[in-house]
Amino acid sequence: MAFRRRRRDTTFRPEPSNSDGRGEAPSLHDPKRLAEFTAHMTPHLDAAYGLARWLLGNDHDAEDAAQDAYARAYRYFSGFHGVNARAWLLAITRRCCYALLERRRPEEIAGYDERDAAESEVAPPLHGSAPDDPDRALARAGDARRLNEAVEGLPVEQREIFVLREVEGLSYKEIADVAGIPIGTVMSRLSRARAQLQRLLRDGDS
Amino acid sequence: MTCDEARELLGAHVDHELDLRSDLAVQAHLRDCEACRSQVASLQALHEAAQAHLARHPIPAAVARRLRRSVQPAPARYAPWLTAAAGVLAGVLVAVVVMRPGLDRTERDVIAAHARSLLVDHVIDVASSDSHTVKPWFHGKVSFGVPAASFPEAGFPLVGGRLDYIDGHEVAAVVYQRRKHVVNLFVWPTRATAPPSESNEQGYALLHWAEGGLAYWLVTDAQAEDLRELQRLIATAPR
Repeated sequence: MAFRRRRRDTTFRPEPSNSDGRGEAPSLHDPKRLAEFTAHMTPHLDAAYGLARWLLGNDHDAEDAAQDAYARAYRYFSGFHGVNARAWLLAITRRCCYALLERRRPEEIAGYDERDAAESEVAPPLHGSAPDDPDRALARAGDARRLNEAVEGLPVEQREIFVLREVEGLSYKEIADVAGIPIGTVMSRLSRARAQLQRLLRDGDS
Repeated sequence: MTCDEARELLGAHVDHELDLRSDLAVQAHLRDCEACRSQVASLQALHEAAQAHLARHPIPAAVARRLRRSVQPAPARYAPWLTAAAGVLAGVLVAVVVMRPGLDRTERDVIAAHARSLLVDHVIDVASSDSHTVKPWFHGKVSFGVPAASFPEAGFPLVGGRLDYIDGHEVAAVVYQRRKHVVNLFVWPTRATAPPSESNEQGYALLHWAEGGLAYWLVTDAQAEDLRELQRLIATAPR
């Protein structure tokens, strides 16, 4: 069956560039504004928290980041142009997560380098020693705990792309917007993440 | 296309993110290359495992409450009616703020109805996973037979139904669950027929088609491919 695929531009700017937020000083307690904000953002709280939980690895930090993100989203709500509320909130949440990592666990985001990641990657064997039955190997990868642990072990820069794709189901374009990186980088990080997961899940099998 | 070239694209092929020309080239390569076929199968299996087992981490209710309260005015300074008015306005504004030039009215209403159903906890009027309960519930409430089959084996259990309004008409809303996500199916009579057509608005995936005298709209914050799967199930289920 043929599907017609339409995709509208989802470009958005999560926060104003002069983002100290003091310049605009909107009335924060305008009930109409609050209602509009709530209507747009409440449906995406699970998404925001879920991303924070995946990036930060524990409930306590995820809660802090989600709270920070929600407050910021409210402050910068005038910069939201009504296109993709979920991606907008996710972009802010992601930034809050990185800010928190920088404060509390800088070693986790220190020195991720696209080229290093590419070089350290051992390409999975293409011919010859390929696993006899990838379906079976990965069916056992269905083991929930092992899969989740493997994803938790990815570098945060790859983990976020994988989670945005597989948990939130965002398109490459949306992921690029949320993470503020080009689509090409989305593709390369995603395939690195998957190669790493395939390797881990396969090794665990043998 | 060589293996090396193809392998760069296999992930995007599995994700349906390739442009048509590249995708055809990949498909042509896959017909001749067993190693790449097996890599595609392995990526597909990883995707399915992720869909089935990756932790979702929904926001704890207490945290969601605290977040919502954190942006609300201090109760001492505002009369209670103002807070109540904000609540009412939220409902009204879902309908208003999603308006955007270029979005047709039906699409807009479908998104608004879906968002509203999540927002005010008014997902269902009749809660049942049994299509023999949900189907008759609509008798006498709407003037057409409502398709309300359940597909639990395929991962789309029916959770219930309710009445809703789209484009000024009363319509049937059939509610499915897809993992932790809600899928709303809106149905109403039409003379038109239309092939399935997808769109993506405000972070929601939509899928519309029309056949057999009914217009169908699926909407969810789960994935577009989930809708495609559910569409196939609905279209082939006995009415």
